[in-house]
Amino acid sequence: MDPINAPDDRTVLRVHDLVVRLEVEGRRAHAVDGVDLELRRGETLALVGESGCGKSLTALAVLRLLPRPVAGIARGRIEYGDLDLVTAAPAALRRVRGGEIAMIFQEPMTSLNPVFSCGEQIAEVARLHLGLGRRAARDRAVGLMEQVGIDRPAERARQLPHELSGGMRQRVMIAMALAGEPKALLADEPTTALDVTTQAQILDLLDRLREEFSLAVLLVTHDLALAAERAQRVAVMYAGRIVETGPCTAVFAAPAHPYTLGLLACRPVLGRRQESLPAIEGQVPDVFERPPGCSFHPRCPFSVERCRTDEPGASEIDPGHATACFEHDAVLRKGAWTDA
Amino acid sequence: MPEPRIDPGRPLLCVRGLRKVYRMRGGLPWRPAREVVAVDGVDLDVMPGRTLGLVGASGSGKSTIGRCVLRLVEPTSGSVELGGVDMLSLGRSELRGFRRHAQIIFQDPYSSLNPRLTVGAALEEPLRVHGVGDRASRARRVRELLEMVGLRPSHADRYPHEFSGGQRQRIGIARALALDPRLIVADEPVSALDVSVQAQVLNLLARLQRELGLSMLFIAHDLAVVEHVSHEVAVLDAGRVVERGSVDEVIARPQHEVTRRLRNAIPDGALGREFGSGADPGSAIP
Repeated sequence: MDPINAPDDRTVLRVHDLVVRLEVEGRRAHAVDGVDLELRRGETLALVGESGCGKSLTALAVLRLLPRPVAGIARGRIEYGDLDLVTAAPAALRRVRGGEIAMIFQEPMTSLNPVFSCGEQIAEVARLHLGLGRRAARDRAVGLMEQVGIDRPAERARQLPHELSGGMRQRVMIAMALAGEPKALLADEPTTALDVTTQAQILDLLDRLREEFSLAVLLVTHDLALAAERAQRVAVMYAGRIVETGPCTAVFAAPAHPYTLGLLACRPVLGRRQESLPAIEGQVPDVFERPPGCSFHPRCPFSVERCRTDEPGASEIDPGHATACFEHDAVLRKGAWTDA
Repeated sequence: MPEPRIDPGRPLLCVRGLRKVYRMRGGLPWRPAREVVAVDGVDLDVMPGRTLGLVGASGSGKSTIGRCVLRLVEPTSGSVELGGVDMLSLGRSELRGFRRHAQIIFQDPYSSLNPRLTVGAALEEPLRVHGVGDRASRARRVRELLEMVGLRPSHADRYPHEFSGGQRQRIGIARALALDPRLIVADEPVSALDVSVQAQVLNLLARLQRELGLSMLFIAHDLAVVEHVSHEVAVLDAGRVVERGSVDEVIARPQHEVTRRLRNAIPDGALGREFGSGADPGSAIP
């Protein structure tokens, strides 16, 4: 889906035609199937999709963190400055990974080392990527902990991860990610494991840091409403492909893909009780059993004959707003989801 | 064997002064044990044929209440009456028999079904345990249950791993309904499901509650989800009910800070309009 990827001087990272192959017990599939993304300085791009759509694999692929030999990059380019991360040498990759492009994960407890103090783990990143000495790195760790809203940072820095609450641990993860002064931050469902009210605080923090450091943020999430609130641009993923992308204002005002429309329609909205919710029938397809043609056609009330056999390409309906649906005119005209 | 009495004018489930204190061992062997008050004096009423939503942040005690009501967790003190029967005074075998009147739907449909039982066997199990009917009538009931939750009778021969999350939750619902209970405790029944199938399962629960005239204790952290299926709501914070009332009232005019916080935590503000079939597309195109 290229229109949105017209080069921009704010571009930090460009993913072009990324294909990730997956092989489990002899079964093969392209779990990510030709994804284009662009991260820009000071901007959050939300990558939205359900379980198994390939959104997390996309984020992992960017830093070449795919679990081998189960998954690997089969095709595509990941352009970071002059570097193509797909072909980059290990040394170059190590410099980028965790330094210039940092990542935070859903469950901070499993991503932090349980036997090192929080401060040591943050300081290690600063020593590695900024070449700071021990004392300077420790001071920087405490400073970062303060910046991410941890009270009594000097004391907390000496604590082990299990002594902190989930929200505090996620803050430590974020401090660690920032320690190498990254230009881009990949956040894979950073608040899913947290309580609703803690969630808002962590997202506020990410917003503030994005502005302060002009970070390019990729926010991977299953929650479209969260994307609408926190991102400037959105890419909606279904069954390995980006089905709609564009500025949040455009996509949420006039969704042009039935899947986007369905996801928006089927959520219960506070204060607007309905007799029954408009539901998307059927199930998310298994990665190894994706239907031919448009993967969404079995669940789609807008589908026509050719959706069963042909795969829709991306078409730009407004500057920067593109959708991969043959029937996008009908979707826009109707502007509402009807049960299949 | 005590039987619950259903009196339309009186609460089916009546919880008074419920308290649950957990004793936690210190993180390290030489640290002293400490007490955590999970539920701290909770009163609840669920009327026959009504749904009470129990909403709160994680750690507010909502799941513990759900489990105490069914005595899956033993309350420290307080009383729980179902249809006039004091649940806490029941002995072990009495309780086992009485449990057919109150069933639970768990959050995670991946871990709540036995992977070695076919779906048919999983649905028949509660019937067999409670000595309901003969083999043929139980098989009929299994087919009926599958159809009731939108699955096919042929699914009875398959194993849980062959189903998606949404379908497994349907199976969980069917199993909970097998014994024709009067009360269902639904503990975050959709929060582990994909967004696009949550609506299906919520619609199903709301429909079954109406059609079967069930009483339901619906536990969730998401106020919008609670609103969709509940008649009344109780808001929990740190083991206490801080606000209660009709769903419409509580959501329109939240009185307590905690309710307001839960309401504001839902990022709906950025989505300005409805996208359902009743929506007006004219207003959407900028």
